[in-house]
Amino acid sequence: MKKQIDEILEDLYLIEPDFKNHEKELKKIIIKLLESKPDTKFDKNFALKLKNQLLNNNVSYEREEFSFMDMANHMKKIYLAAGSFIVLTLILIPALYYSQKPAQIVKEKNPANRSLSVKKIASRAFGSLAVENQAKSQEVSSNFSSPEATPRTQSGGGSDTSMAAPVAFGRGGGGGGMPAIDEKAMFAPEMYTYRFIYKGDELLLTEKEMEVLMRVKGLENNSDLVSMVQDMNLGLINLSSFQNAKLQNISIVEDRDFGYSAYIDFLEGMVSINENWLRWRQPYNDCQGDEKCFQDLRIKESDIPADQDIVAIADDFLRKYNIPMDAYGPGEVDNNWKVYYNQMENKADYFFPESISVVYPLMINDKVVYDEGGNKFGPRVNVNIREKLASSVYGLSSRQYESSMYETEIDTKRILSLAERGGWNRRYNYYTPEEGKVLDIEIGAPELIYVNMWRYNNMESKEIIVPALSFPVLSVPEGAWVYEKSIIVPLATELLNEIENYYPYPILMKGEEAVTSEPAKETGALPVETSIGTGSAEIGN
Amino acid sequence: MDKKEQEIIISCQEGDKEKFGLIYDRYVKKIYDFIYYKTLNKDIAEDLTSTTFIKALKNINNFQTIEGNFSAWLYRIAKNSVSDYYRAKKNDINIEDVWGLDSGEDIEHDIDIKKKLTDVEEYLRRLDKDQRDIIIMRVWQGLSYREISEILGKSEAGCKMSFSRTISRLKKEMPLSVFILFIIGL
Repeated sequence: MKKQIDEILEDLYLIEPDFKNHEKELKKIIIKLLESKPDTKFDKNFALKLKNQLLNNNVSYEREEFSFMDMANHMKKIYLAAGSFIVLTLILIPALYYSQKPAQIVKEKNPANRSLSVKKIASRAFGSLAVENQAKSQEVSSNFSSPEATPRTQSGGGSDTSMAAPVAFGRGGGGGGMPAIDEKAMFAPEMYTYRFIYKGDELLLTEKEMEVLMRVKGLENNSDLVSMVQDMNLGLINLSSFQNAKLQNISIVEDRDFGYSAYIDFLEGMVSINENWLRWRQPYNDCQGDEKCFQDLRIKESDIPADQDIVAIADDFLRKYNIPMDAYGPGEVDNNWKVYYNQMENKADYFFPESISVVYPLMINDKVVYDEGGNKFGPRVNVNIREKLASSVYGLSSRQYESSMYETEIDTKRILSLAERGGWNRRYNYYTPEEGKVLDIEIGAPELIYVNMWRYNNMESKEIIVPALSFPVLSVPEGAWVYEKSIIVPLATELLNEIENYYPYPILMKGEEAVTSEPAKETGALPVETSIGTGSAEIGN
Repeated sequence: MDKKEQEIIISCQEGDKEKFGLIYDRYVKKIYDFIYYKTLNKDIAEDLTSTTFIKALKNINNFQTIEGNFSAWLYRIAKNSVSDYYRAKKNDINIEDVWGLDSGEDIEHDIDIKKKLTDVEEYLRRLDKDQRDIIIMRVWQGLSYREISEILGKSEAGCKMSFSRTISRLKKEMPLSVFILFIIGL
């Protein structure tokens, strides 16, 4: 401070030499005022967030980036340069080569969303959006979950699926985030009927048709790769005898400490990345049944970094492996585990998550895309809290879409009646009032969103994005097991029919025959009186 | 501009975007403070700081490393961002920062700052925009006269002269305690 005072005085004396006669007085005033000096409120969190956004945003990026998605196109060149190698080495070389060599090819400027394209085609080109046999389809879908949600054999981390899961333990992190011995969490809650009472203004829907998008699956240009693999002499089989051969998937592993494995699914057009569990620490393995060892190794709340640091770890990983993210918004930490933590009576018993997800929401027409549960949809990077490293990435897909117009509902009474019974995301959890106590949950005025859905029909899966209304949950009464932040109602009429015609599984009661609920009437009318607010609010395109 | 900074900028221009992070770390607080002193509002200052660095990154290939002073270039972008913001708010009046607004119109001050600056605010508003910028940059930011001259596009001698005359004027118009308050940058 002395130096600062002297500099200020010198400045003043240069301008006004007379001030030298008042030096003692000036010094007292200067010290007092310096001590009460406010700052400009510079926020380091803001600075870090802005830095991450700048370095992840292709504002003026002019490099061709290698990515796992492009690897197939480069493998032939590597093969020719490297000569004849065994398959594992051939696969490893490009992975290691590109992981160390920075891309230096300069291309033209990349426009925003270069990784995403939408091609318009005829109306109703995707066929029926609804699933024909819902019960059968549910069985199939539970056996054939989204590929990105299936942990690979070498995964040491958890997976976090964004499939519809109205109440899901451990969301926001794999391998942890569980209540320990809280009885409320361990046992199924009392069966309630939840009525979602609309408290917003009157709705007005005008669009009779809206765009539905369907993702085009598959990765292109693997014919060279197929030829290359077929030409290899493995000594076990002559692969060139395979006719009309296609590559469906490959796996690549980094053979180093804290290395990764990548699984590329050419048919689905997806890539998932996991830790090479053979080269990551597995601390609990050393405990050998020693409870104290296990307890000492548990993640503590103080081990969990701040959100911006978790995002920074995820961002660094994506940058290092040149994974293009321009089709997505900035990363956001999924803190759903805190919902359960906050409900714990004895917080010391809570198992903090071993990994926490960062979701990068898909953006279509500058709108965030949500999943069927109302959570933001997009690739997820799981961050290992113990090692402070990214441990896995799910949801990396080719983002080529076709769009087709489909009939949408404009009958607001129908929309609201379906919202009040829980909409799309709670259609499996609807019980008729006779089966349990009724609890009212308030929902507010909706916003128009996009929802990503997986549809399974006749052993075939489609991934579609549909327009929907998202009604925010305003308040949840004590004891209610409702964790959704919003109730989703898709606008495509075929999907509304599906909600109304849904046949729930038989409810087996002890000592009784199976009871099956009657299917809801086609109008979707609730057995209770609905309530609609006054005023008006138009929602259109 | 020192040689290391020059090398970093050249790397950015050649496509090594990671290096922009180093530039960013060096200047983000300075630019933020500069904008804050011209807006006196944290949220606006953060928005305009974002705008400044986005523009800088977008146009980094247009910066001439041999002739230019990167710091001055960045401050000019920041200054223009603030000007654009206030001109959009008051398109019928040529104002460039919060000081150009009448005290009754400026409702975006952070409240605690408004109280602290009550005594000096009146006097700063009376200055023309260049005089005010020179005062802010010299007194509150501690920039050299050379840097100020490059940012404003004026000669170094002219900036020194303007500073001296402005200080003299403020000294005459303000009570001594307020003058000191102002000089040490509250």
